[in-house]
Amino acid sequence: MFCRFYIVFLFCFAIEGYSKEIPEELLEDIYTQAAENSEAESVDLTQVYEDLQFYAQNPINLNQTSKEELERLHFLSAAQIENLLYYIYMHFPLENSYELQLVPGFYKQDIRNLLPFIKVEKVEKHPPKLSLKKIGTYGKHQLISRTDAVLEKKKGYASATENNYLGSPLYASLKYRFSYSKRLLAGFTAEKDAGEPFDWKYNKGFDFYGAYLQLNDIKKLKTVVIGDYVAAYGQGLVVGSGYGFGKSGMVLQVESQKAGLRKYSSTNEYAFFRGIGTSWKFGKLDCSAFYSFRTIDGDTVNGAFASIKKDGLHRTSTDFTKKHSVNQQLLGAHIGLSYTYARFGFTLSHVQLDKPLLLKPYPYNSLYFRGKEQTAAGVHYAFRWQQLRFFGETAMANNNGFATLSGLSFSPVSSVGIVCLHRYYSTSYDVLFSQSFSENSKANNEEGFYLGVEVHPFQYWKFSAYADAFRFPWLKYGVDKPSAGYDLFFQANYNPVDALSMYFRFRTKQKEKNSPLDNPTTHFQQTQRSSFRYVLQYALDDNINLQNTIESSYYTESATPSSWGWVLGQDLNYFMLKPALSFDLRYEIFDAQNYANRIYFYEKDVLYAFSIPALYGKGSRAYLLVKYALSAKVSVQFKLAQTVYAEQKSIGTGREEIEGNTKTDVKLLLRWKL
Amino acid sequence: MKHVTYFSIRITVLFLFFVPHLWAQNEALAVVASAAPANASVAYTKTWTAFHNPAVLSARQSKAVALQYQNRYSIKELSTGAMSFSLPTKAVDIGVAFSYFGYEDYHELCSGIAFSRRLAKRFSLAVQVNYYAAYFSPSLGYKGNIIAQVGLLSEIKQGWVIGFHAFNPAQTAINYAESQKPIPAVFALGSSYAFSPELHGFFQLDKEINHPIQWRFGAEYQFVAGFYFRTGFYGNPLVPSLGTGFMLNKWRIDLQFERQSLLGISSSCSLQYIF
Repeated sequence: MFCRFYIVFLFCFAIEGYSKEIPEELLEDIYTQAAENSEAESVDLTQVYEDLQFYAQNPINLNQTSKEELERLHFLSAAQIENLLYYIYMHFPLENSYELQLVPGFYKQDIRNLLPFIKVEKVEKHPPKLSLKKIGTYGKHQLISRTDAVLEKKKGYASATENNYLGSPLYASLKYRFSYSKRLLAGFTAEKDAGEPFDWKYNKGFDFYGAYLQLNDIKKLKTVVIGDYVAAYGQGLVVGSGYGFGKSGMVLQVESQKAGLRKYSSTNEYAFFRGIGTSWKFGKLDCSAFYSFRTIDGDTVNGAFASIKKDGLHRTSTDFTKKHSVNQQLLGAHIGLSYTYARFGFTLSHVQLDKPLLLKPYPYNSLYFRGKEQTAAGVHYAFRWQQLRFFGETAMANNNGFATLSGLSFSPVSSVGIVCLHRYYSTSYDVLFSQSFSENSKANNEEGFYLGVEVHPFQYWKFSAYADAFRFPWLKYGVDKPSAGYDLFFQANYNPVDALSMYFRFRTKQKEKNSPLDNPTTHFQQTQRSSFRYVLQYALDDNINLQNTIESSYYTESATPSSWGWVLGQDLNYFMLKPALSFDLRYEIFDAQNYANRIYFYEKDVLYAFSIPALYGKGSRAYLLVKYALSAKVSVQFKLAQTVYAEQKSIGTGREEIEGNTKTDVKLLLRWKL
Repeated sequence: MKHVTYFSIRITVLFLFFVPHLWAQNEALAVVASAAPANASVAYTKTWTAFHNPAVLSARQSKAVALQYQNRYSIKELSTGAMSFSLPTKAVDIGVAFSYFGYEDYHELCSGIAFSRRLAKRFSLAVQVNYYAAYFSPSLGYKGNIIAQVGLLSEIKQGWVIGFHAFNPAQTAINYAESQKPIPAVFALGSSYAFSPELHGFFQLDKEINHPIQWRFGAEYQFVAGFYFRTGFYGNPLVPSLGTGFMLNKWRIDLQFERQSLLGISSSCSLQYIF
């Protein structure tokens, strides 16, 4: 006992200073990894951000939490959640948050990440009542308006361009959020992308509207959500909409963090359900049922469609011929059984389209889903035996497509964490809403084994590494034969004091792809992409933070010469509490020979905007982000970013082409809290 | 006439062979080399050199006047001369500088004023505004443009300094006769570490936007009070650098030599008076 409190006492001073803000390095890690894994600049992480922001404003009481609630923090591994719940169970009630360092698997950085989202208080025996009077009195309203623009004119806005953009180059969105404790959440979203018309001819004002109402903990009814929502169960093989980390710098966090039904508040126009979902809890048993009816975009011809348009952009008359052209219905259910050391569940989904999906036939997609109906079902499990934690899911689709994932995590000694994961997704397993751990963008045509290790060998140091060997048993897009590859990752973190931290990261990935058609010697070639990153972060005084970044990428394939890319960046953050004003400045210079050498470089941005530009070519980029709280209720955020290319006379292609070598982005956000 | 033709050929040869290399050094021609080992000047706080990291002005905070001269590969026409003056004030530390590269038929000039301020005990921020001009020919005369410099200097902990310097971050060029002469846009990031009060190590990465990244590595050792020995390496092919510095009362003298394996020896010297 003495030892426990002595350690607590020693650690008090180390964690005293952290404020209730979302740690920027945590967001950076999440966003950058998401961009690298999805190979896209515009990864929509609104769900992740809103969850984190919600819990930053409504911290989780550790003495009164659940697995589902902790899973919504996204950055805790399943083993950490189990260890934390076990510790709470054994030492209930916790005295204060300093006890976190006594939980196995929680190190300084984990605790630093967690602190803004938790509190340690006495258990509230009666949750806040859902009466109209209390909702009206204690409910929190928030209105957010955002406008973005690119100052240079794009080709698509020139009147002479064929099939040009119908709308203005302004992006605009309006979001309303309401929350009453954690029991009632409601919101409304309207959005118009740049180039989309804001009128009554093509749209009803904005191009996209969404709304939701979520109620929690009404006796046996755990959750009911009406409007836009997402659902995710098990490892996501049957239904896994939402965001999953997959491979990332958090190497132990491979187990899908799925948290049942919850509202959807993002502006992504594809990845959500629209309808109603309910979830009940009867002791150890919980049951969910959900129904969705919505329209999606497809290039419909002769009563069928060849592909689903997922980008949500409706800027040209051609886009409008595809808009909302397919009706999609989904019916799903889940039954789960929870014990102290084990969980089991069964998930079922049935999707029905009003028009058949008929993909253009190619050898690689010959076994993909086609038709109007799809049914999938799966069983999932997670249990603990001694130090070992097992988890997995096995699922099957109505075309006999089969997928299975199984994993094991354990800590042989307190300073070492290990996770192993094997997955096999058959080529015919092509379930529309599955989202699980994979190298491919979807759980399909893949087999692989992943091993992740995290070691804390001595004070201030952390080493993380993973190795993932995978193969694709059938052809892929751009690879006309079964292929294989590997992905290796290593990261060393050094954090001697709170004001100083640094890390070095190395990642290399090898894959196969078709050779260029003019190569007479071979049909296939191996590609290898490696990247190195060094980041130094330090705080000077109480209001200045700086960061230096050096990153390079190396790309090689047998048919062409290898190439390098470099980015050097300097960040400066200056903030004041009175007035509540902060400045973020960055200047970076990049030189990446081609797109294969692109480097994803995370940027801070205005609220609900996510910038991870893929830098390639030669040039420099700078931005200024200003956040100013006019009062406790009203705040304004402004970002000005400019990229100047050294050797280009135009930027972009097609309708997105800009004449000249400069691109300037402006963003303005207003937030009003009531 | 014959003399003029010979001279023109000589100049053409000079520029064909040497200027690409000079530009590959990630520096504008009108920027004179600093006294730092291997020219790793961005976190070198002992003296401010004209058109190098202006945030060093707040690290020194001394009123000083300096003359600098650099000769590249023992060729008179590839020389740069500079003079600078620094003046610390309560509000802001000011530096003024002028430099000249070249010879009568072709030369480049740079003049600028720097403002640096210590925003925190261990952090300085500076901006510098320069006018960079080049003389192209009697018919074209001088053409120039305004360029910016930004510098940061942070002492992370006692003896460990990180410096950042951006020269021409907006990639401004000189426009002439419907053409453009680019001015190097350089990003420099470097660190110095004091192993002891006498021994300092330096590391720096430079990236000029159109040239490969370049690293610099060097060390400075103070044998006795006021007498420094400096050495280091940079670039590819590897260029060794050797230098020395003396402090004599209020005078400071720095000498530096480096040897490029193909092009030969370059030298630089500076004379500074500290008020």
